[in-house]
Amino acid sequence: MAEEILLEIKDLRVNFYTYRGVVKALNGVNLKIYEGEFFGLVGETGCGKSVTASAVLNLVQNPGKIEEGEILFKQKNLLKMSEKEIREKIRGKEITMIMQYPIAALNPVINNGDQIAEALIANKNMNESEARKRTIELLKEVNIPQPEKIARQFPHQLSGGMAQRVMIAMMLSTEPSLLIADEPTTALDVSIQAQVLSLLKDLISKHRATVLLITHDLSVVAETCSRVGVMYAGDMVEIGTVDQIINNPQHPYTKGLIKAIPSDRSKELVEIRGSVPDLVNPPSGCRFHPRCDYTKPICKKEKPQVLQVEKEHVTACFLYEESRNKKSKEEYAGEYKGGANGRTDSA
Amino acid sequence: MVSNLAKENLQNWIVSWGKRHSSEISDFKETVYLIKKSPLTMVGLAVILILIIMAIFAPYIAPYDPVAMHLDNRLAPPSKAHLLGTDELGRDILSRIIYGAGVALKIVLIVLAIDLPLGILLGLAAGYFGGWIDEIIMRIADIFMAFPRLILAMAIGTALGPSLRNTMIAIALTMWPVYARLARGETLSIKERTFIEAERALGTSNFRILVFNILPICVSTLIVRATLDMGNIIRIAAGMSFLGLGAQPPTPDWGLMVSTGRNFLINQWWVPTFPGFAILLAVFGFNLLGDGIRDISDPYLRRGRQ
Repeated sequence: MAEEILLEIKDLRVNFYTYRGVVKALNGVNLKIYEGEFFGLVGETGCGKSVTASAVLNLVQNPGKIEEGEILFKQKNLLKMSEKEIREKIRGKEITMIMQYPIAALNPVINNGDQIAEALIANKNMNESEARKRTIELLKEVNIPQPEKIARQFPHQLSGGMAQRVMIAMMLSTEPSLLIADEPTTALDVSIQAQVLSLLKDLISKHRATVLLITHDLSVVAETCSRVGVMYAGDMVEIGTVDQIINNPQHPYTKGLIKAIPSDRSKELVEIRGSVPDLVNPPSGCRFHPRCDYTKPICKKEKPQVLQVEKEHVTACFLYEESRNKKSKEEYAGEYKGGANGRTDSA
Repeated sequence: MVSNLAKENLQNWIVSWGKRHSSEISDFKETVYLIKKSPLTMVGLAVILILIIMAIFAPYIAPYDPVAMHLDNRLAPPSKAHLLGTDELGRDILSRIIYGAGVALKIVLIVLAIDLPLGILLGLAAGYFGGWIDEIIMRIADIFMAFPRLILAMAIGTALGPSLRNTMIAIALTMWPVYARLARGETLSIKERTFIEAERALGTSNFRILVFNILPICVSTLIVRATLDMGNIIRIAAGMSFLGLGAQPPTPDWGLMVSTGRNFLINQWWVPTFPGFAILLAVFGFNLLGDGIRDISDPYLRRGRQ
């Protein structure tokens, strides 16, 4: 893992001003993405994953508004850039985004080839014949059979998997350094999912790009990502490497998500009780406390601080704080090893 | 040798053109098939085609000069020499109707050539940018739409002075709000769709999004609306000519012919009746064709596409 930080989000808050009140969609999100990694962002529907993605491109739609925070991309704050600057220098050139429903994300009245060619002409200053040639190459690169034929067809003539490949080709055409994939496989069936993911992985390593993969499927993350961030109701509850998150989850929400993955037939699936809270009136303190099995009085009052578990592994939960304090007391009693080293047995 | 090579090149080019545009060609074939299946559209299309042929080839088709007066042969009833009779100045009515087709089509084309671009431009801007741009454009459009179209056209026509050119300007000024509203409505719904978001994520400029992504989708709706309006334009133009605001004599304009012929309705019925029929047929033809095009361009009708 390269240690160069490509994208850093600091205390990002996004509100949506609706008739019912202010929806606090992002409640101070912190996130670091290193160059060349595959970062997964996991969480339930409505927890703010997609809002985070659109905030990075400064494309939060009305009535949404970025209230505060910093988005540092290559050490430059995107939120301080003008709309024109971000459009001309960032979107398309440095950061692109793959959408959830590939067929809806392609213009229905322009044929596939022309859409990619247009992106090339607009962003790479190519002339038309160059762009057409490159389009065919790109389509070949995303394993589309008969690229010349597909280039002439229109989006509605493609299957979901094909359309997503065309989309990937289009978004990689400008050679961005960060690719945001907003649930790229959700609309596809399982066998195609695996194909698209492995294709994405191959292409990314080939183009040396970084990926922010947004999904609600932890198994997708486990398969492809190097690090994961778990979001809940606008809060980042846990960040760590895939290994740390899967094998040593600290936050009860992460644990719940992992228990809910169908892995072994003999094991019964455990659901997380309740549903996502209404973000107009979010729960006080830790936003997860009404659904948590280990709620303590303090959870209802205060927002938990982000705590370091191990290197690269952080979580925001009072449970961890407590167990760590207990542990360090024990360690003080015995031999002090310095700092917290993780492993909790409380949950 | 050389000509053979050229021939081969041409053949190759035709084959490759066909391959490159295979989807457009199959689309076109389907359109033809759908038109053939709808007899009313065929009738409308035939009427319009006849109208166009009349307009283009008027000098070759018309048996007489439309403005040549023969005072010795005034108000002659339909006969072999004058199929539709002659008017109060001895001019052949059939010839005048044939030349009149050109005048009518000219009005339609010029009005649409002003209104479609104007409506599209204003509608796209209003719908896409919203805010005060939208507010200003749409409130002005509302003012124009607050008056009955014919009355407003008459008022503008009177203010500008009676002539064919001013009639066209007057009609164009009353029609643009329709297209602006339509384009705005389409833009409002299209700009929320995912592919526009995808374009934004690609850093496409507003101008490119409007021209390359929104416009092509709007255009089909606007063209359907324009074909439906062609009949209206002919009707309004005829109405204005009838009132003396449009074409001036001796222009062979249908409305004008009905207007001057109405004095002879009782005794020489053919003088106003045949130009009236011409207006009726043309409006009818445009309406049938417009309805047909609307049905054909409906994507739900188009099945079995690969």
